[in-house]
Amino acid sequence: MRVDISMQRMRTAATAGLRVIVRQLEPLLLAFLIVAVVLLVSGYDVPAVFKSLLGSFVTDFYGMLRWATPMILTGLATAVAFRARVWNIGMDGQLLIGALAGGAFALYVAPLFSPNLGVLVVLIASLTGGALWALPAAILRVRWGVPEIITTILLIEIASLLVSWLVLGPMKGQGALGASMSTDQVDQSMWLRPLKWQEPATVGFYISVAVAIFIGWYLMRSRHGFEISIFGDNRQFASYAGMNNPWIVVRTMLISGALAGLAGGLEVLGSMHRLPSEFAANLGFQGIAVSLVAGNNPFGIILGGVFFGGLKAGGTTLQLQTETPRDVVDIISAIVILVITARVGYQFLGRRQPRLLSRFVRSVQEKEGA
Amino acid sequence: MTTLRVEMHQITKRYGDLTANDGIDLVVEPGTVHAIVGENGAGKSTLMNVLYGMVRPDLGSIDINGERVDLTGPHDAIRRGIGMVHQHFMLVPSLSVAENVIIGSAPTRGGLINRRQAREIVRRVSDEYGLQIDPDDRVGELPVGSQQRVEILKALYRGAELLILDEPTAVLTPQEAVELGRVMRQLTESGKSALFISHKLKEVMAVSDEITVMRRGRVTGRFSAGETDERALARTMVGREVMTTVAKAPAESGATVLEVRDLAANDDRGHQAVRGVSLSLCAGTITGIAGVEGNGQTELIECLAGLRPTLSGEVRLSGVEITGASPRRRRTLGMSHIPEDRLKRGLAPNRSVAENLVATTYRSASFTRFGVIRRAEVRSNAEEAIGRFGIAGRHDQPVAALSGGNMQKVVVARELAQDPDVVLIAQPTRGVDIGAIENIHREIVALRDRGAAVLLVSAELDEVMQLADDLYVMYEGRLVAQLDPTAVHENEIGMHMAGVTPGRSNAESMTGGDRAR
Ligand SMILES: Nc1ncnc2c1ncn2[C@@H]1O[C@H](COP(=O)(O)OP(=O)(O)O)[C@@H](O)[C@H]1O
Ligand SMILES: [Mg+2]
Repeated sequence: MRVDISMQRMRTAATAGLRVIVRQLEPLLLAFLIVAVVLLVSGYDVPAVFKSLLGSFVTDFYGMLRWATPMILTGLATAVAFRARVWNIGMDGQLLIGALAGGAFALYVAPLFSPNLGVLVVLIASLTGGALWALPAAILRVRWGVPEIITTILLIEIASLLVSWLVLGPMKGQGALGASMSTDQVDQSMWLRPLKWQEPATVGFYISVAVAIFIGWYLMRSRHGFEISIFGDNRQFASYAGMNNPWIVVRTMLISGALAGLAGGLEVLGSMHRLPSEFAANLGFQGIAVSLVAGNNPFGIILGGVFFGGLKAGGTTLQLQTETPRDVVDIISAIVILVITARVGYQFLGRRQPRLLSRFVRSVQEKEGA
Repeated sequence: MTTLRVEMHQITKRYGDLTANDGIDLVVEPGTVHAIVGENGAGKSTLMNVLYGMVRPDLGSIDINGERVDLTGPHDAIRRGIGMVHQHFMLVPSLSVAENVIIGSAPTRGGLINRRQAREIVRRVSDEYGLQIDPDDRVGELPVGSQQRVEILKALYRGAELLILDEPTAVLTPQEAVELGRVMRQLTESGKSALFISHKLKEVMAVSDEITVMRRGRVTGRFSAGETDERALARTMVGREVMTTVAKAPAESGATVLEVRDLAANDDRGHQAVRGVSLSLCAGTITGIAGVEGNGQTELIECLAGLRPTLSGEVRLSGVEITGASPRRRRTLGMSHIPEDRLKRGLAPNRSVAENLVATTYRSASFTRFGVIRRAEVRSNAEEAIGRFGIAGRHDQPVAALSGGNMQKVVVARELAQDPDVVLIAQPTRGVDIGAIENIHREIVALRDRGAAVLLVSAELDEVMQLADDLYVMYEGRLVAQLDPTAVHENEIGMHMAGVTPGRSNAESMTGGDRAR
């Protein structure tokens, strides 16, 4: 009898888990499908494209982890904000300023410390830079009700201009590198150690994963995490319950910005080793897709980050092998975001969600129940 | 004019896994008033919408005068003589009664609307059924009860022989409700019939010929009004014996806890909704505020709870001035609040029962240590509340998965947990099943007996009259009367609710915020 019940419970838990996974994979599959159709119509060799795109999961393992590193962090930045229903979508800007702050500290301040301490200082600088870049949007929102969805986007542009101006002007490099529109190189002692010799992924990946675990804990266990979940579910209730709503928004934005900023710092110390005047890898934007696919769950974001990291790495080989523009990867993320936001919007309107695969799961469940 | 006999056979309507109507048979004879009663979610509205052609049933059929019909939409139902008055009126406030009545099906002459004829029709129909409506009145200026009669008139003008009314008395004062009952009776004299939904058993007993009781999508009883009583109806509705009155000892009033002087506040649109309210709440006393909804009660409570800015006036809680204080400060000073709209204001529906139960107290040392939530304590707190209040749900379930009554219990459990000194309670039993109402009433009385000062606002007159030790009536933002709930007659309260001051006792009535006592 008791065994029966626990078996049944496990089975319901398992199907529930399956349902969640299927629900999350649906937009991805849909995105792949749409991209396949588009490529087909434009005359590309679709099987070859997908082979090379997905092949990198195996052939370019370290490339995958290299890109997963920032994407996990921008994914977390998204998750923290979105869980509070604070729409920070300017992670690209906060990442740039994080990279700028990190780069500046790496070049001018960190050499004063021992290398290890230097790295720490640089990373703290990039965290702070990202947070500060999110602050104006937070203040505009709580003080004057300006929607952060607009201000954070506008701040991307400003960040990008600021970085270009500084790197081409005051921070311009001296030697041969200077000619190629970037700062000087960061001292080699501060470069993050690669996971394997001559491979692109570094210990930065471990940092990302550790941060994801911490954020997961933070959201689920800390007092602020509790406030975020209540506030994100029902703002009116939060104020009724005596929560300080403006302060919740500000803190959430600061953490979100800091995470994106950290991604920038790791890019500088781990991959670029200098600050170029432009680097538009759309990492913030990809972070939105990562987080949405993971249902804004920090642990899921680790997987999501690795997956989109693999696609990104695949995009590079893709261009070489099949002459398909690597933008395909961005298109996939964009479609994923569209599909998921459409679905959330649908929910918001109180409609039933459109379902493809989940119908299959339900039929399995029904059979099981019968 | 032909009379209408409507038969519904085996009507079944499913929404996903939920069966809102499960094989329902219903016959409405011409010349009768037929009431449908049942708890929330019993499927009453669904059944009515099927009959009005707004919802297509999955199974079942409808016969009108013996002829099988397939209603394709409301226009089809109207064409066949079925009219419906919705809870939210569909009237144009800036137009006159006559204009509203003829919208969409106006008498015309040479392509022009014939206003004179329209007015005459309205006057004639109004006289015929005693609706007391002047065709030239502007609809927006009419009280709710009259607007409802305009809706009825509109349906009659379009040839309704069977009139469906979905919870028509929910928005009315007691007098208006009686008046509506009279109108329904009058309809039956000319062979028309009325089919109305209500959960107020008293009025159901008073006006109907036939009563059909529904529970969980099925018919659980059919009665003739002469052969049954409220108690039997309640039992059939709920499925068990229900106490309808609250046992309550006389209040032992203590010191004044909350003092409100000349309070004023706006509604959401910026119109003044609270106009100089003064009152004092004493420990161990339930102070009730009766009134038709929309007379400033909501705004008054929100203002006292710190959720709405105060325009002027002063509020003191245990001697401390809290006029502009934040909700959090008020809570620390011993105030708690059971809001009228629990889903909008009182709960985070997608969060767990346990989280909702600590949402106002999570900052305290018992639930947080070093900025970290103590999950074991949160959970045991929930389990205790679930046991004490009989919440049908688990601590880790999202609140949205509970029924309305259980959601309300979550709110009540949380708000009463801290042994508050002052509790603001608005519409505590709205949308709550009869079976659960009894429990909530008992909790409110128990709260009073523990020495709390309770402010109770309810649109259910019976509820305030039963619970309150001290009773006010609110009308257009003012407390227009202070009454003794044990001595006053319902009719007198009803007059105050409608803004009419009963001629005789001036000692009891008041104007503005000046207390006469
Ligand atoms: N459009 C709908 N979609 C899904 N469920 C519905 C819909 N309309 C009603 N229901 C459900 O059907 C049940 C009966 O609802 P309703 O007929 O409105 O009950 P009542 O009027 O007796 O309170 C409720 O559980 C309600 O949630
Ligand atoms: Mg209903």
